Amino acid sequence: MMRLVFAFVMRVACALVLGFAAMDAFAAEEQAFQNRFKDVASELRCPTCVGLSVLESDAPFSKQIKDEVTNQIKAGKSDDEILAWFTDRYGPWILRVPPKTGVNVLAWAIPLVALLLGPLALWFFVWRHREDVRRTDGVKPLDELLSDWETELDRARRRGGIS
Amino acid sequence: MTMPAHLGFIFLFLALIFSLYGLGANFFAAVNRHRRLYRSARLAVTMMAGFVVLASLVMWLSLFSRDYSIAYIWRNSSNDLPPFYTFTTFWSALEGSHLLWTLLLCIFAAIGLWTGNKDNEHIMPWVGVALLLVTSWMLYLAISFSDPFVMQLPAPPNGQGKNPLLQNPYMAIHPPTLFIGYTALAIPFAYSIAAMAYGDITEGWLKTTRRWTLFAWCALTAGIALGGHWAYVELGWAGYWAWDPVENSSFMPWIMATALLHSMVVQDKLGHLKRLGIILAILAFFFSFFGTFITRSGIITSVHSFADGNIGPNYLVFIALLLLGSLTLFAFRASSILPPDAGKVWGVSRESALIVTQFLLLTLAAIVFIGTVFPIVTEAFSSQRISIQAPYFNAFAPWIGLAMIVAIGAGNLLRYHSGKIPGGRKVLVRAGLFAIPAAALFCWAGGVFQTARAWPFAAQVVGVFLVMASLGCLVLDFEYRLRPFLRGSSGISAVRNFLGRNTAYFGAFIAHIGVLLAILGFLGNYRGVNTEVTLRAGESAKLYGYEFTLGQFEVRDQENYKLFEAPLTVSRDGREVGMLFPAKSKYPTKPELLNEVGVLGGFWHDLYAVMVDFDKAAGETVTLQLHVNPTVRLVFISVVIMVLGGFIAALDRFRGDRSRDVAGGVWEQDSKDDPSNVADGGRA
Repeated sequence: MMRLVFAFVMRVACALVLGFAAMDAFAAEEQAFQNRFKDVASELRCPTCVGLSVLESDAPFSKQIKDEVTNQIKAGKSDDEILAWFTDRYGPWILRVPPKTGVNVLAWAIPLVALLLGPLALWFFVWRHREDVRRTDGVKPLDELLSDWETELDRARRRGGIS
Repeated sequence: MTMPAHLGFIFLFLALIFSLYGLGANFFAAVNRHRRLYRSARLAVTMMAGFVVLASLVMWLSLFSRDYSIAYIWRNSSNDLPPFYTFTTFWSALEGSHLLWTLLLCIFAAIGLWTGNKDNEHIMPWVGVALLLVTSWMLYLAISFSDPFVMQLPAPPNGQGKNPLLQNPYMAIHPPTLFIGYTALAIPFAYSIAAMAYGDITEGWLKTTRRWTLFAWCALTAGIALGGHWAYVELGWAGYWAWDPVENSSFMPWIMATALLHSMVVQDKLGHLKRLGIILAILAFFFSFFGTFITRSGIITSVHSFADGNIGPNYLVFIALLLLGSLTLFAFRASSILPPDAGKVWGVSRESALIVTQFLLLTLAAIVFIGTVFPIVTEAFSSQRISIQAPYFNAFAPWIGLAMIVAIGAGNLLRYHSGKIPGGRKVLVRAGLFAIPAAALFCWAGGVFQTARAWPFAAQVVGVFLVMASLGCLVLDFEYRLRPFLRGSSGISAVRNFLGRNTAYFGAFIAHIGVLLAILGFLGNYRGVNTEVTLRAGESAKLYGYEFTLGQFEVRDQENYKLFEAPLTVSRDGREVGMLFPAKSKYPTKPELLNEVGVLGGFWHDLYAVMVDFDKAAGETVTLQLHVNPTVRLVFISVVIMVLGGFIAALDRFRGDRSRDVAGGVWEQDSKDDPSNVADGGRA
């Protein structure tokens, strides 16, 4: 939602910044079609390539899919309907990203959780465990120094240097 | 003619014998602290490397003598192959690239054992154990499931030909560069295993591992970029990075190596994050093997094709054992890696910024890993097939990229143990002030304002501004550090003095500038434009202010292929700016036509032309895809800068002496009769 709002605000700002000259109606329509075509075609995978969308590919199979997308847009179908049509036909495999259902939710949730909770964890471990340098001015209290020496001795014993 | 094949096999077999002997000898030398046995093991490693070199020479000689009695050579080369590509056929298919891996690994193992720092001497047997475990298994595969010298009798008169896609200079040197990076990561891995097995991190540990990691990092960076450049000029989809599994699998070790370098900085300065460093070194090496597993087991195309092969399951077992073994060792021995005397001071400070860097890098690695592996896992367990491609990664990676820009800028300003930025507010204000006109200039000159859609446009403007501000921070901080040196001495000697004492800092400075420029270049991907046109000779098409005029269609004979070429003259405002030569090539040994992309590079954008189709009957019309790809050149320039930075940092001589909380160990078996046994026994 935030993203949509932000996108809208940016769109308005963008229009102001650029001061778009009034485009004639035909060009605008053509542009809108092109944008929609690119949106849909870039969400479908090229069935015969590795890692490419049908938009980026000129394999025969991709061309057929692109023609089908063009026809369906012209027939007045919405983007979601077109994608659903392809999913029915070829399975979720044809989509370049997994659907957000079933097990596949994990693929989306894990990065999201990591990105959102990670900073919290960082705050917890890094910030909460900080030591105030000014409080001690870098000088350790005596008991801490003693325990440090104790560890040092242990270490040396373990190494076999001191018996 | 069957001689070379036998000879090659025997050499590999002998190498395996030496590797196994070295493994055993190193192990006993490590357990019993037996110095002479370790020396014997080191000689065995040298012999092993020598025999693998010999086997490789046999392979190269057979390639040049066109010895098709070796099946590998028969399948991957032909009589008309030019000498350069004959040479690179060595690594152009599975068995050969396995041999290259083994070759590099064995050579690095030998170099690693011979160049070990004096401070590390008592852990070297363990280093040897870790390295030889890996080489033994690689050599075992090289004589069993991945034998490059399998014979094909009687020898056919001509080979089946090399994959034409690989007949490109970038692709020819991309695999060895990447493999150098992968295999060099074996040394930090082995040192980590040794540190845990021995029970502590020794004095020279950081010095050695840091230098090897930097070396590996440079090679990986260059290798990945070469692969990207190859995809850009050879595949014809107008991009250099598609987030496909093969690319991802080379990216993961790179991220891990980068994270390792950053944890080493903290370890060097404060002594903290030793265990994290060990984990990262293990993961970096694991992911380089994981990458090869992904690419050569065929598991990407289908889980089922994977199960049919032999090499895939073998790799799987090995990498699983590698990871499990290392992590088990970590679980039991990590407690022996002690933290330093200095207390932790996190809060706002450079070490905290480096922790944030770790978080960003590791999250990125996790996302890349999930995106690569998830489809394989779901297919294996639920028979449902899904795809995870670029849009998935693009949903997350830009956010991490944005955070990284900020982290690079802020992190370089902060100092250790302190929340104060020297000259803080002034630097930040100046960097911000510098960034406004710089970003505006970049946006104007680079054509960012012509981005059609609002969302990518916003991302770009914000991204460009942040990159410029970060660049400003880096440069101002550099100036701040240089200033004391300029006092009282002349310019050149002051700079020389400064660079001599801050080589590592200077390398990092250059590398970070490279990273920022790379991100600036990636932002260009948001605003490419393209069109598809069908032209006759003399006709022209317009795109982005350029006019492309088609010249005479030509068919030309090259050394081992035919080229169907459609020259395009490009002009802007009536002035000619250059020529593009999009073409299709046809190799006699292969049925299909391949793209030869025409690229006209500039700093702000590349003009990129792909021949989609041509009129095969008369050669009159040509269908072309024309692309304007912004800031691609910037990405490749930035990679050169990053690698340069890495090399400069590796030259640093003042590193690696802060981690000294331990005295060296003692050789026990031969201390009496060996006068050279002075391995720091007296210090404790």
